[in-house]
Amino acid sequence: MKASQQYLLVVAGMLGAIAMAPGCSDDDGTGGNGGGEGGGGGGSSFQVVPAPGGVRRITGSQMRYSLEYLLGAQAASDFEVWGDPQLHGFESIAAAELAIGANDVSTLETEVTAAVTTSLQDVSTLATFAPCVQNAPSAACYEEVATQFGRVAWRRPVEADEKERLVNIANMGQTWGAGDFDVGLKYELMAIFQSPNFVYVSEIGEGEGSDRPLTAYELASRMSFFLVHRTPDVELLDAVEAGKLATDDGIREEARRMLLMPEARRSLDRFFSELYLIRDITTISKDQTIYPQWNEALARTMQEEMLRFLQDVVWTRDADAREIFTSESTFVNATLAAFYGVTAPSSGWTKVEIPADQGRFGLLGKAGFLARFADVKRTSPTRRGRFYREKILCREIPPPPPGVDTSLPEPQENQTMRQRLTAHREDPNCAGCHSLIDPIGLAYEHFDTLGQYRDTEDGLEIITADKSGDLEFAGPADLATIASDGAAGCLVKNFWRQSTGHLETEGEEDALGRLESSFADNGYSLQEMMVELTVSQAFKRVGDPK
Amino acid sequence: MSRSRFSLSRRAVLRGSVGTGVACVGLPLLEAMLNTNGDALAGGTPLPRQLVVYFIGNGFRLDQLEPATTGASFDLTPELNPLMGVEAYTKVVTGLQNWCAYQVTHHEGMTAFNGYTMAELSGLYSKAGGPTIDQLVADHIEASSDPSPLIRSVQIGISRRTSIMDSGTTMFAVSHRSTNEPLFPKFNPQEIFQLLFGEFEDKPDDGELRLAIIDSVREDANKLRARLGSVDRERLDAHLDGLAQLEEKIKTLPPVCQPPEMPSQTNPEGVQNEPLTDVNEVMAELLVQALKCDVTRVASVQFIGGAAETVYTEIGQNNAHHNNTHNGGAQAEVHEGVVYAMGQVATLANKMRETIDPTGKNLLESGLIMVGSDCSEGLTHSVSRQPYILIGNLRDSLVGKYHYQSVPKSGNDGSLTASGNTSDVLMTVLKAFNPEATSVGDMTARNLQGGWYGTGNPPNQAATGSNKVIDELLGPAFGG
Repeated sequence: MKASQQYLLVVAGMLGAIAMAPGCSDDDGTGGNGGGEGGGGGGSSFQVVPAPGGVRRITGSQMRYSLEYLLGAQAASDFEVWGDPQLHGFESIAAAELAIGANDVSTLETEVTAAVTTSLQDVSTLATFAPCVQNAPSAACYEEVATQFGRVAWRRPVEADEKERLVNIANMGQTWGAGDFDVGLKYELMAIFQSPNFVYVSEIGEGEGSDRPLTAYELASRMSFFLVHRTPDVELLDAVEAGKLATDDGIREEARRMLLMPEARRSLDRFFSELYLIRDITTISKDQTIYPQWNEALARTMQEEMLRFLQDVVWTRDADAREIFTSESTFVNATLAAFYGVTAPSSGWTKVEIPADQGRFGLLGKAGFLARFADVKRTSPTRRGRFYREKILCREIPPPPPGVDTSLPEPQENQTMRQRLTAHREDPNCAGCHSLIDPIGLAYEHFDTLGQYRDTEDGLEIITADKSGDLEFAGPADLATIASDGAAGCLVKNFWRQSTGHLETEGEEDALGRLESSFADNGYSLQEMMVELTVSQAFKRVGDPK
Repeated sequence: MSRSRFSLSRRAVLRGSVGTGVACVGLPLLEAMLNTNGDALAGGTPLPRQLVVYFIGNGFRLDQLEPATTGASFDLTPELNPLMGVEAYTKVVTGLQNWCAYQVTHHEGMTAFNGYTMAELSGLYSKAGGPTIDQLVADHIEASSDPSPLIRSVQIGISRRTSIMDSGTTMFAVSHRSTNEPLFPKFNPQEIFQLLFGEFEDKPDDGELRLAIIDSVREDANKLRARLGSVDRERLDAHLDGLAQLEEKIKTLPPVCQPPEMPSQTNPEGVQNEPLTDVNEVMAELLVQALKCDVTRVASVQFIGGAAETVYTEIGQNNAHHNNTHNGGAQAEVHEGVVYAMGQVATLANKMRETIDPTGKNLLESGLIMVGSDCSEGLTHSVSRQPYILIGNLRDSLVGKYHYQSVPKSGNDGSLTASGNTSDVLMTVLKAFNPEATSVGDMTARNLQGGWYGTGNPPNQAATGSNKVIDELLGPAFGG
């Protein structure tokens, strides 16, 4: 890191000079994991009070990926069951809190019927769980399906009464279908996939009380939905039954096995896409009179670039995750090569270094981020700054006070965005928060509404040096360093939220602190962090059902 | 429901023999079932009445919306003018105060649809505090009709753009059954078609098997339920409600009705210009057919969400309508946008007016469209003087044309006069459906937490909900 890229920490006393509106402070907002060192060493004070248990609804995408594993890609390809809303930035949290509506139950039936019907055209995937559907398709096979296939779909052994009901439905179906085995199978599968035992992931735990272990099956499900975004595979269930999840090393071994699967990459893509809002770049409008080149293909290219960049850090090189914020390399195809002014690959994608004078560091220098956090017609330092504080540093920013005119003065000739935004910093209603947000976003003013580099803002000089609360920086390079130094805890926290389906609680602070420490000890390997997350006390245990 | 499986329901009687594979026959809906007076169904069940909540985010230009005079004769203003075809059914309510206890921008405005302050409010995150008016009406219909419509309610979305700054559920669903049961809109007309008319399709008569699956699923659910805490039980109960609806759908044959064709419009996601006009037209047609066929009686339509980045490219705009509302220099564009959105309401309203049900009434005589937003004046996003437009008479429960104004407008847009309570409108609508209703929303009086837009000091305490009916809006059925 160059000397010029170092940032200065302004001592807290200097903050007094900044007019803070009520409700806006530069609290580092860590709450959950503090600095990490607190519980890090696993000292005697280490204590975990697990979050409440209960059930989480399987998300629509988890359902689709589970069907893909259970019935084959063809059957799952058009499966679309519910819209997967997010709470606190994650679908998994919404799935833990929200109920489904009456119409969703009908949609589930419709979609399951379609997927099951398709799957019967090629039962080879199904036969890997219940071979009899190919070898011995007779009435006796219905019980094998309930036992073997049901175990994987429901993530636990199917109990006798449940099995009996499934077989009855299959028999009824076969009779109705004039003896056709497949007809009985179809209705048996429909029953399996509409059951709450498929739709709701149990995290109730064993025994009673406010601190109880998840059952080994529940732990396997929690791991599997986190690491590969679908139902546990047969190997994992076998590991459960062999008692392998009883020890941390056994859990680690299974977690590492799962991380080798292609599904783990897809799962992590989804995580980043959700966390950094990469997935909605394709829904952003730009003024077509100013940016005629903005179209869906370009937006998708930007998404792919960001994901390829992240995959390179995590999977290809298993590198220090802080490179996500500091690396000056990226991936381009011909379109993006022109965008960044680098040599285009002869075909496909290639890894390149972006010219240093553009000041593009990590994710925050990527076109996709810069375009996503801009307005329809112009840049939005407020949005970029808010993203940086909230998504990278986990420092929450309160909303504007009510009744405040949030519009900016109309742009005047010879006025930079920085000058326009001075209104935010002069109005005492706005200054408290905007003095924390806008300066960060203004450091990215060399990137226009689409994320293209510009030397000047319509001929006017762009000033990037500024400060935001306790952060002082000359420009994007310093902000990259600040992110690198401060983002690890936030990243851990977001993995926690996504994997457990809840915001971190006070009782989980020590566990998160320990996880952050081990993240550092392991050279900020995200792969290792994910493994260690699965052995965390707070991951393996729950409180009373909510 | 005590009806035994596959008993001959009203619909079955009308449709004729089971399993003929005929999608419909030409008998008019309901006709055979009317009592001799034609004012109720033979079993005493009241005639169907419908509610569509139509949401247009980001407010209006009040100076272009509020009529100059009050009472039964008023001139349509520029922003009401698109409704000229349904003027005789149009009631405008102006001047009311939204008493939501907390104000953060946009979220509090959604209180105008349920009368509850938001739950779990934190920054720009919140959930709805309680059920919305459409769901209260759906509850009443479910309790008072036998059989109930096949679909309790349907939620339709037109613009897929949503707020990129807000989170939680408040800003993403017009309809909520409870705090943890938001009913998110579906944006794809083909999905709406499937939901409303999927049971009309000619398909194998496997109802018995589907019902057996539901029985099995219900047993699984009850077994699981016993092990859960109260929060998850509530969620599972919502699932069980959905199973009951599905069960009824399977047991009860579809009404006699000519289902529309599956639309080709899918309202695709993407950065390209949104085909809002066409999607609205297609959705309106599906909805009107569903109302006419009595497949459902309750719907909400989210045309453009609050704080959503929808750009009205079809009228030549290239900035997001929401951005325009915040821009003092773009108020002409805001006005154009509101007129455009009101034109989309008119598309639905005109279709309802043109559609005659078996009792000889059109769907605006039998039903009601309730138009509202998440703020009053777009520029300030104030919730003082949040207006409603009510189109339809609900079988004479509401008057025809009327402008009710609680207090004349004065003051500039930043400090609007207001009086009364937006929830009075919710109470009036609920009363029109259910004369036994006594209140709507949260009746606890509480201190307001800042953000007072009215003149003078805010009262110390106010309830977000209401038990007051606006008598002027009640029609002949109430002696009005």
